[in-house]
Amino acid sequence: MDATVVAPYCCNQLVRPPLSWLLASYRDLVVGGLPHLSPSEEARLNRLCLLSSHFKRFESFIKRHGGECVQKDDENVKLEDGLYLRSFCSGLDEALSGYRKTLLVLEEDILNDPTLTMGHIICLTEPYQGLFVSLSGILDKLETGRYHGCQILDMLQTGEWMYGQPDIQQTVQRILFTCHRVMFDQLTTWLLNGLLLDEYGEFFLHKTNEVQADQTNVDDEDDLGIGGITGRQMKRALKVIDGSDVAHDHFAINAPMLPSYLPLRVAEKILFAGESVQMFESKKQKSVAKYTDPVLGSNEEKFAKKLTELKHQSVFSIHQFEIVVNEIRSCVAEHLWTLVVEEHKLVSELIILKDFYLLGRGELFLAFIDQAQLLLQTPPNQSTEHYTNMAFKQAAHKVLFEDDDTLSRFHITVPLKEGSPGKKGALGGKVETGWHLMGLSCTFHWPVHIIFTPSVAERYNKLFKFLLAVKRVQLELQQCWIHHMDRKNHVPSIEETTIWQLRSHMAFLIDSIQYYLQVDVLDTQFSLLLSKIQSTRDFEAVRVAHDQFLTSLLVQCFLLTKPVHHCLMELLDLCHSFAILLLQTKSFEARQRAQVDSQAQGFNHLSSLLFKILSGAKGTQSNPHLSQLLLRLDFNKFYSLAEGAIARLLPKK
Amino acid sequence: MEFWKQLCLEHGISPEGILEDFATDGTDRKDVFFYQADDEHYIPRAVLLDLEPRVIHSILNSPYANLYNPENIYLSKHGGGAGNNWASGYTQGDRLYEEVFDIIDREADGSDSLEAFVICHSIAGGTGSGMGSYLLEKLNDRFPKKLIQTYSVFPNQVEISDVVVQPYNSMLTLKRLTQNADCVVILDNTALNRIATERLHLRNPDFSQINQMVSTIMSGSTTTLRYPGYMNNDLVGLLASLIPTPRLHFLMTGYTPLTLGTEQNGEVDPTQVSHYHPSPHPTPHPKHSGTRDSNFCYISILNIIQGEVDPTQVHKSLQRIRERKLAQFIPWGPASIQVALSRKSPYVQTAHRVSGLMLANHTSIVSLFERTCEQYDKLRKREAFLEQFRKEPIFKDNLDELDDSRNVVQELVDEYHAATRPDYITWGTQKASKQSTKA
Repeated sequence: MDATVVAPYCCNQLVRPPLSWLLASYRDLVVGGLPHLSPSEEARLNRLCLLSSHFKRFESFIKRHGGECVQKDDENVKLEDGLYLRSFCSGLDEALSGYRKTLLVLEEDILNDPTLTMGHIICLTEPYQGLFVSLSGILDKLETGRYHGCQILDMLQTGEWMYGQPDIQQTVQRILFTCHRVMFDQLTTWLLNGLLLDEYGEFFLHKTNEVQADQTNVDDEDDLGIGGITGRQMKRALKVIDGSDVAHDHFAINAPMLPSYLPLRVAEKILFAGESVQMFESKKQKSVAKYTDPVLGSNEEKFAKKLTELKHQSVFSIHQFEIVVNEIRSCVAEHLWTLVVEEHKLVSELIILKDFYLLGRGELFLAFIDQAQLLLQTPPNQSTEHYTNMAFKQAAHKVLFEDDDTLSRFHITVPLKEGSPGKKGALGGKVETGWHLMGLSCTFHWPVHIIFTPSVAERYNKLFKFLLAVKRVQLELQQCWIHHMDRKNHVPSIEETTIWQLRSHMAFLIDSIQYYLQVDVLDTQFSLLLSKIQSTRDFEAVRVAHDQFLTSLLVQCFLLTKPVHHCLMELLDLCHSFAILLLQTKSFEARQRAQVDSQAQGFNHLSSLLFKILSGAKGTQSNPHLSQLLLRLDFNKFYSLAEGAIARLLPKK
Repeated sequence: MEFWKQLCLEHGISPEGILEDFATDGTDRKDVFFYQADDEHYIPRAVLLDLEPRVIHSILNSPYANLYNPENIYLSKHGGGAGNNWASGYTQGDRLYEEVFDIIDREADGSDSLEAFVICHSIAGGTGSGMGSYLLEKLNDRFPKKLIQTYSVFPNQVEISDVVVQPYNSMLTLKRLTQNADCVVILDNTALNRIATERLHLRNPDFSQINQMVSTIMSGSTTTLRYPGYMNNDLVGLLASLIPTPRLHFLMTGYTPLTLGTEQNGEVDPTQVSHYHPSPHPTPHPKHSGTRDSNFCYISILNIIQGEVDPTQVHKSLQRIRERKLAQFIPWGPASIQVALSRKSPYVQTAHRVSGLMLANHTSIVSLFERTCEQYDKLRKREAFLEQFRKEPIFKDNLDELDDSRNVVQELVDEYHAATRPDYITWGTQKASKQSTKA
């Protein structure tokens, strides 16, 4: 049945001329000014035509988008094909069924009673007037907004039609329901099997670095079995997974697709649960013997049932939805916790990271700094990285570090600076030496790699660089100390006194920073992290705790506090050049004296600046770590009393 | 040697030098104080020297007899000891130079990264002080770039010693400790005895108990070397922050909890300075306390905390100490209580979860030297008991060496006193200018 069929019947009675020219092709209106038609009749006819033209539009829309094979070249197809669109169409189709029935009734009535008045027709079709306007509005919006996938859900849910007449609302709800079914199907495979079946890019999750696996022709997805997927789909999905390297699949929330009524936290939970399941499933295929127990275990069926129940609820309830998602998430999280923390010994993994990235194995890096000192003093060249790694291995050998497996996971990187070597780098006109550029990289094994993502490793590396820089300067100053201890039998000259004093001030500053770093920052945060890991059984909590751990480290190492960090780095540079000067100079001439003088002034300036920054931030609760360092630096109130008075003590020449 | 016994226990090494089964996968650094022979035996990097056989014989009769490399146990052939005479020990050191340094050189060559020598000796008798002094001088000559740390046992100064020339011996040794050592950890017998009686309620502390306390201190102060952590992985790192100026390198120690064996002392917070029992913390001599500055102060403090301590507590303790002014610091430079955390040996079961060792550079150490000076001056004025000294080559012509030592120690005493004053930094230069005006 078709609008054009209805119209002739309606008009048959009233207008004699052939209908084909009575009705305009798209926006149907009765041609005005016809004889035998009173204006009121014309208006009523027009009203009927409006209805029929809406209907016609719906029909053609469904035809265009609801089918399987869509002619891409058809320029009328403005909307991207997709499951949501299709189910929208089928929902729409369903919504029209009432109207269709009415038409049938009408047709029969007309056949039975040729004198049927227009009033009767209008009476029967009038209830659809409002609805059709709304539906047409939806179509308008859909077409102009070019909504796609889950966006359709959002559009339907948040549109003004949800607040209008109850019958319109119900119809839209009904359409929404059919659309939600698609979402639930996708969700179920994702949550329970870790598979993202989303060929049209409609779901609110997506693979970020997608390795395009060849996608064979699309099968009919509309009718999934209850709470599960058919074997054929499973097989195809597996093929998709196999095609790409599973270990490097990353999924993310596709923000434009996320319906606004789904809170981000829920979406994140969904993302996490599915991702974890996916990780398990993929591993399961590779080494079947070891990880055969399913993630969700016996719960899988339970969850599937729950999801199906939700799917068949006519009104989508975000509350219940979230409850189920939460249940699944905590189940997965606990399983992951067991796997990562207990079976794969996350704690010992963290200790290894602490040993290396956070210089927990101080003696190793002591030996390494010793070994690589000359190597990294100059701007790096092609072979620097290789030799540095050799030096690292030698250092490890020297301190009897016997765990080769662990050692081989770490690799020191010395990236070459772009541009010609020896070019003035960013460090205030200084040449960037190997020490400035080197970093540490580490490979992580399954499944802990889900915690130690590249961005996490990058943050570790940042800490590593800072800690190593502090350690290097500390060692250099200690070398100066040995140098000074040779002088214990001599009566010191003024000059020597000045120099050892400067050295001991520098050493005190660096030592205090070191003790602060070790005790107040590294060990404190690490013990907090460990106790958090032990006190929970939820993997997500572990991940969050670890993130917090890293962030607090970065904050408390002042890497995120620009002024302090800058000040510290300058201090380190200064101490470094002082130590180099001291260690390389045999006898002090005027030139060196002047150098030391300017270094002393620089040091005074910087240390009092640091002191000011620290004491300025003392009162604020936001940075308690600043006052912790301050306490160490100013323990005997030397700084606060003297206000960095080393300058006063240094005799001017 | 209780120290080695302690180290063996902490590293899981049996008295025969074999690694116990339970200790095979430790991450401790046994190579700091031991090396491994071809047959997997761990051998201490130790040279045992004595001029008389008593102590060494007792070691050779103990279960640990086979631990040491027999070639490293050197016993003077004539075996008569040094007769509690510094000069005799010094002369014998000179005579035995070749043989002794053959051993030391071999040991030094066998070390991959030799950083320092550690000498344990007493400064009262003849061997430890005399021969020890000689060794100090020669080690400094031969290995100018290596650190020398000593653990020096200072004699009991309260009771009358059976060694009448003890003040001479101490004075002569003290000069070498000042000039040739980089760090001297003072083990004051007086204080150790007092602690043993007062704190541990031992009526008559015997040698082995005192020795146990000493070995606890020694092993505690080397723990960051042996159980490497974030920092203080070498001796320089440990000492550099404690010794800001070259001559003020005499350290005292405190240890908490002080226990022998299985005694239970209740939980203690080792970060609190007040809990430490600074062993050589001699009460200021009454003669000086009134007349001279008694505002002794800390030059530096390092607390090494072993075991599972809650690191968040450290900061709180530091704050408390500062607020309550529990520790007085030097006025001429920045100073602080440094706290280093270290792991604990998993093989030694102790009653306490946590233990702490304090290494402190405190100016009150000067009273120990002053008392030595005083006792020395009494003897020296009377020229008492000098016959035995004159027999030895070093005092054959004159007693200048004694007077020179007295001067060096006096300078040290002066410097420590100066270090309690804000103008300490200009002290060296003041002195230099005074000397130049005199000249």
